[in-house]
Amino acid sequence: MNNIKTIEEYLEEKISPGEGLLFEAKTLLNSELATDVQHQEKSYAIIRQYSRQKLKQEIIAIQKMFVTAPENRDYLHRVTRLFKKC
Amino acid sequence: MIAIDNKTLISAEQREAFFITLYQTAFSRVAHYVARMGGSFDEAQDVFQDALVIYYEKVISSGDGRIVNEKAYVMGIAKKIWLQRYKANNKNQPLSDFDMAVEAEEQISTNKMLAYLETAGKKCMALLKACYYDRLSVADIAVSFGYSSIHSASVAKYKCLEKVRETAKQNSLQYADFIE
Repeated sequence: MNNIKTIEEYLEEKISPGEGLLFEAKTLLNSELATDVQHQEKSYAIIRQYSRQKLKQEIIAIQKMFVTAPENRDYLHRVTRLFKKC
Repeated sequence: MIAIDNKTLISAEQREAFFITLYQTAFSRVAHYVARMGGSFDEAQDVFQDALVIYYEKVISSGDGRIVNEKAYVMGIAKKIWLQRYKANNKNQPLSDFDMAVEAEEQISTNKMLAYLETAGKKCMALLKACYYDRLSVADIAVSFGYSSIHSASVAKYKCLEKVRETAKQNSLQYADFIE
């Protein structure tokens, strides 16, 4: 866990340009560090994908609740009528 | 104009109210558009769900969360999703491809990793979502997840991130393990 915070600060540009250049120089000399940077970037993409899936599940559940609520019946009726073929 | 941000969307109840309001105000416009384009009610619902995901991300990342015309904004996103997904005759493209170029092979690999990570650590993934996606502060995360201090929450966050990174690393080393 020793480099995870440093890599995060580098990727999120929370360090100065000089520190950023120094960090990049270190990745050129240390292939393990370079690989860690690559996998950490991948980790953020995984977290984003996971989060989107979770949020979409949450929205689907809310939508089900919305369309089945008696007070929304007229509204839904008007909307579904848009899709009726002539 | 509305004023919302990640502070007002912390809890599931707050997000529920946020999304229900959008269903009431913006869904019919999207449905009109999808119907006019020859789509079905199910497709309209699917496009709207994805538009809400993108809109949520916009609100969370925009800092002060001020969107001048919420309905028009959601409509714009929905149109873009519809045109990308259905006009190109490429139905059911996952949302992850909306603005992320993911190779098909990599997508399978990622899905396997997601399933593994969720099984191995739901709390970790929930914490990482709260931090990196919902953009809650570490102080809010400490309260939501029951950590005794901000420091403990911060340590937990990095440990969880390390777990995902290690899984990504193993995945690249043993790619075959994640292939269906």
